[in-house]
Amino acid sequence: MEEEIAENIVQIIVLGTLGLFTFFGGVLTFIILYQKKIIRTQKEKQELETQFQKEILHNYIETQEQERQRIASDLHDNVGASLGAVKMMMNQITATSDKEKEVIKECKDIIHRTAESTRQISHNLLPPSLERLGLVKVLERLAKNLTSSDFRMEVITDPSISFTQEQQLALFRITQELTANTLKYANASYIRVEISKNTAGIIFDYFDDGIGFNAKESNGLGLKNITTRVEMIKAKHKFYTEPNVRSGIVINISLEHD
Amino acid sequence: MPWWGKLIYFIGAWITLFPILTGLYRIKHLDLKTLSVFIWMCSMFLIELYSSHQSSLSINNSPSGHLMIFLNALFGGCFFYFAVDSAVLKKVILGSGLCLLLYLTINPFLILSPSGMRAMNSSYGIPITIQAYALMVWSFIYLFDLLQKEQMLELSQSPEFIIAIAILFYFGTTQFVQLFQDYVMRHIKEMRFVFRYVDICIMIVYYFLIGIGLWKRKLQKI
Repeated sequence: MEEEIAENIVQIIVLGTLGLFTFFGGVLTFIILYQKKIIRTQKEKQELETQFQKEILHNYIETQEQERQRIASDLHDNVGASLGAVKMMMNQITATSDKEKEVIKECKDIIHRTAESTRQISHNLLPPSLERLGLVKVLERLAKNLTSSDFRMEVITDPSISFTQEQQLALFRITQELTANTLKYANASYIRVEISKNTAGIIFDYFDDGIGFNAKESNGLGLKNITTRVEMIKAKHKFYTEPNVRSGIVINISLEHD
Repeated sequence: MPWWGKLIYFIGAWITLFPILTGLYRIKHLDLKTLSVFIWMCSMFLIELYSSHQSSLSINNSPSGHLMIFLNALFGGCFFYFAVDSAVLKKVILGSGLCLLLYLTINPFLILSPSGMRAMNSSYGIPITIQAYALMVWSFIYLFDLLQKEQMLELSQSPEFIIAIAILFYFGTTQFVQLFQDYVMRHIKEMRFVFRYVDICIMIVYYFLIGIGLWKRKLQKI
């Protein structure tokens, strides 16, 4: 009788322990699976949020571009035309005294300067030459405007490269953003834009010899805008930095997307 | 004793050193949680040594057992108290821990055994079971708290998780061993080896996991 009890006790100990081991194994498996599920859900949520933010930025850039076009067109067609009309009317005024002549001349000068400023603003908002002259010429013009006695911008290109309208506008805006950043923060004396071509596609390389930057830690809208514009033309990009030597961006535009 | 039995006994005797060595190696990286576990392991090792010494001299080593149970509850409670983030759960662990420590302190002195000896010198089947239940409940509390966290941790890299799982497995799976400890020791002495093998095998897994837990030093957030 006692032997039977002893055997039963041993069985209870062994089987009970195995049972508990299985139970706690199940608990552990449940926790790991549950945690994996939560992590998966969190990652999906994060991805959706990132996608949503990208779409917002994309729409923001498109709207900005449309607004620039509208303002540039309004400035050119309405303000520019009105100023032209005022100038013509001023020419019809006959001055009776020297003082009147002087006032009319001054008014004409002001109108001329205003018209010139309006044209400049309009061109900055949307360079009409981009479509007419192409990206390379516009960049060369930009380089000429920026080059001075203590600052130099160089544009090196391959004349055989052709761009779509979308690519031209994106690369021009990116260059505008980058030059603005270089002039504001980089403390640089030289900018170089090199556009070349290989079997895979077009390579756009922009760099300056400034103090460099950390693209990963930067929270500015400028770099995000650049990233979005690169994505909009389905290209790939990489920021690089080597302080006081070369810091910039290289953009690869695949030929498949031409 | 078969060779594998000797091997189990041998590993069981030396495995207690594993968490101490890993803890010593990582001593600079230990925080409050892992430090409490490291001190726990060191004290367990010393008590185990003292207990074996008493046993070899045929002296009743039950007081060492009572002290071991008390320290399990004390350091286990400290570990879970520091590991849990929720203020409410911290209070639950603190309250239940203090009650348990009070019980484990007065139990060996107040209850008299049938032979007239104080319970300090008698076996400790019931206190050890109660202490094991408390540690199991605290492990579940920790796991519940872990799943509530917004920032998920890489579980395999989390020392707290590995240690909590080790505690849950050891004190959870030795329930039957502890519950029938007194009976087996008194009535079926010839089956003591089965009892010891089961206990040592679980103990090997326990100390191994604790050692791994002390080895891991960085918490990786996902």
